[in-house]
Amino acid sequence: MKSDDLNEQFEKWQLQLRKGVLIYMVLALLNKQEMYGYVLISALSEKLGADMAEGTIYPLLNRMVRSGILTFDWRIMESGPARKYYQISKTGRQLLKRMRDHWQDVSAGLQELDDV
Amino acid sequence: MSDTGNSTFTQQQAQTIWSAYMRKVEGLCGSLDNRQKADILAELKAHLLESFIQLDDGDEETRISAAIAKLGKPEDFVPLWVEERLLEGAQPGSSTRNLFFLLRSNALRGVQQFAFTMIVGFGYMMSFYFFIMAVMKVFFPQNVGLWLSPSGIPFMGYVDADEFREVLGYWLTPIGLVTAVLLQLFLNYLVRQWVTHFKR
Repeated sequence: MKSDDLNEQFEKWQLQLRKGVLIYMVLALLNKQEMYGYVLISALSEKLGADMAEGTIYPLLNRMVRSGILTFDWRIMESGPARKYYQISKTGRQLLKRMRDHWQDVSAGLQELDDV
Repeated sequence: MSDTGNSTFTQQQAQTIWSAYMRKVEGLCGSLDNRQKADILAELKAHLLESFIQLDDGDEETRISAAIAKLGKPEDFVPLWVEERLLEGAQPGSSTRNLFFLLRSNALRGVQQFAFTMIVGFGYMMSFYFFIMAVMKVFFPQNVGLWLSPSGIPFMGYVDADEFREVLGYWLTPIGLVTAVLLQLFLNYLVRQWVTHFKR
């Protein structure tokens, strides 16, 4: 396989992986503390170590709110525009727990494969 | 920047870039109601201004351009966001207008979606037709009705001939109105189920 093809394959896989873990990461971040869009997206970019178009996260946040795993409230700030703070809901916490358990199973499985 | 809250920049060029971006976003939010549109604009505005403030390198024009580049092109994410907001409106009790926009945005996503849109669109037209006939019966009682043709084929509409036999008479008005409402409620339910299924 050529180096370019290899890179392309890897990037595709990386992209799929990133998409897959995004909801998990949002829940994990908000489980620690509530955040508003900019801070949440900056934290995601930092954790994922990738340049992503920040705007693409907003539809996802909206979907998570609609599904009932996140809640939000608008807050008026002393200076600057109002901020929309996101919080994890009770259902979101339950989902996060199941995701964590599953992630650990997958991770252990991968570890076993690597050890062979 | 003199006032971040009102997004007024001291540099004209920065203001122009900002305004053009916001106009584009607003244009893409066209199918949303004012509250939903304002919500998206407010969140993006807060994001961009925060990003602008954090980028402390360069003049206003450079910083707002960089903040916008990080956020991404509106056409890459706003349509998805709009769909998500429309889906919120797909809850029971939401307006037919929201459902119409949702249907429209889903129509060209595949053969199934297109066929569904056509069928449901026909259903909405029928609902409207029942409503119109029910109302017209009041104004043209002799010509509007549910008729049987000489060969026994039933149809609803306006006729100006004697060979047709009317079936419902004035009952067409209440029956037509109830049918129009029930049909519309049923179609709204169907669309909600459909779009939610496709968005899961």
